[in-house]
Amino acid sequence: MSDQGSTISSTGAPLELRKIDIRLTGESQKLLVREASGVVSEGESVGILGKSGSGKTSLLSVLGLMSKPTGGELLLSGIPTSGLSDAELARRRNEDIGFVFQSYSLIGHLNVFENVALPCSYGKPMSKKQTTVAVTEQLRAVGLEGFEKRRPKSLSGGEQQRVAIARALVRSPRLVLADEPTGALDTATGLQILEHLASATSRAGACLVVVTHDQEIARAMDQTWVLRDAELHHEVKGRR
Amino acid sequence: MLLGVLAIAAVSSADQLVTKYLIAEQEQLHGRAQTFASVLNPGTLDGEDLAGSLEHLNTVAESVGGKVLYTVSSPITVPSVRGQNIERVAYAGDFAASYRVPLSAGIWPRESGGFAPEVVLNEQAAALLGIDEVAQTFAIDTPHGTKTAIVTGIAQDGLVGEEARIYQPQGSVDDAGLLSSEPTTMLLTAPGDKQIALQQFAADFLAQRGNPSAGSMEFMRQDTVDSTKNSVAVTKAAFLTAGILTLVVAAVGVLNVGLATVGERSEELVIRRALGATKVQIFGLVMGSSLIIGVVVAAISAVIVSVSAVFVVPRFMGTTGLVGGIDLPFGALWFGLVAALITSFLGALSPAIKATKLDVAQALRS
Repeated sequence: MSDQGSTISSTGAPLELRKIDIRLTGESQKLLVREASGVVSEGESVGILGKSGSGKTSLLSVLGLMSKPTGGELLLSGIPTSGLSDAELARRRNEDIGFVFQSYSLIGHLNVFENVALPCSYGKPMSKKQTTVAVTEQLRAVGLEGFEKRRPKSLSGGEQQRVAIARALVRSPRLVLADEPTGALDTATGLQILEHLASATSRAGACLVVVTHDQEIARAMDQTWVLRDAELHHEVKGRR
Repeated sequence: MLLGVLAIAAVSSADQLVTKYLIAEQEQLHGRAQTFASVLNPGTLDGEDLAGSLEHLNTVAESVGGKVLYTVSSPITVPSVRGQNIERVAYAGDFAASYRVPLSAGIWPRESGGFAPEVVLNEQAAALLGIDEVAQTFAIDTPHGTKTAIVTGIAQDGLVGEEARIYQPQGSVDDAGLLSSEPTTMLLTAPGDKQIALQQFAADFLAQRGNPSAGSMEFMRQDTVDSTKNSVAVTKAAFLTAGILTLVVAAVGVLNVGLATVGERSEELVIRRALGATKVQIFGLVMGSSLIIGVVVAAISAVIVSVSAVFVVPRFMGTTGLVGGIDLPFGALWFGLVAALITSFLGALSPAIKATKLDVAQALRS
């Protein structure tokens, strides 16, 4: 359970959890997360640690506005999200949150440029020029300049994940959510990716939430939250 | 879907062609559509009476944009093929306005004729007399001796077998042929909205004549092409039903393909949703893909139909001259385009709705 108390006033922080409950749908109705609370401040990083099946991905899904919590309230930049419509949630996902998925989740029939530019197709309209500038800047930041025309299949796992990082940051979100970003990579490449992710989010001024089962990665973040027995425990701050 | 659209275009073309052809055939044999006909008893009109009556009827018919045709059929003797049965149709009025009888060569004769009677032969008569081009002559027997007739045209009158006919204007007939013992026929043709007026004029004409024997002259409306049109309508309905059924099958096909595609693309679709696509945008994406298929199918159909109408069908039309080719069925093409799009829309509707219901959280579990 959270160690931050039961009442938290809105801080205006990029991400704020207030007694979030997550329950499985269907017959079992199992409680995955109980009264999880926490705040992620501007530029801060959080590692969410938990065993397989502990509810990490479900929690990330709620943090990423992909599903709604069973109870409690999630605030993005101080704004409650529970009353938002599906279209508004989509817009917030697009403009405020960047996602890095475990299996990269690049679209195979689009080239690198198009994959990175994908979020620019939705939400607040961006001109072609603005999109080109933003994509080029992000590809340069992750060291993939010149890869624009390549297809995802022609890239290594590490390169694909760097494309995913560029895509996550292309709309300059305030929050980046990463789900096991190194899970599909070898240790050396994983470390490189983590470095890219941390430096890119730091440079963009975004806060970073990484869900992982790797203690080393989680504890390298500013905060470490451990999901255990459906409760979210906040550990002593590590370093980023 | 392509078959469905082609079927609908084919219905339109076939309807156009069949209607044109069958109606033309009816009009060739029985007179143009929606005429009034009267079979006159022999002797009811003498020469003067006939001329006066024709003039009167022509005047009233022309006043409503109509035409009068008076015909008398009688056997004629041609010395060169004596013993052969040849029928002469002497006529007063505009023959081509009352019957659809195209000429494969030449022109219709002048009304009064010149030095020699001018005639048109049907194909059987032309074959019988060995005449294969216009301006050739042949001899005919008349009460005043043998005369030479000039062929001004060869007609396709739709008669089959050995029925040889010679068409000759009444003005060049010098043997009182119009008062022969054979029954005679009078046709009055008028535009659709003038028929009632023409019928009234004809009735008044009969009443004014006051000739007791003319009392049997009843003008009967004969719609020569109505039954043909009904037959064509049944055929058209059958074709149309087949076309629509094909489109329904196509819609089911599009539905299946769409559902399978959504299944295959579900990962991409949930990623797009995670990255900010709204349900409406996902709906549009899936629907758009399907509509593109519809547009492509419609475009292919348009090309096939156009090529068929312009190049293929005319090759099978023959050279009867009874009907021209078919016009490019623009209406059917538009209908086909709309039908293809509607089919694609209906077929894609369910997959598109399904796509919007994909759980966006699946993006984290792919």
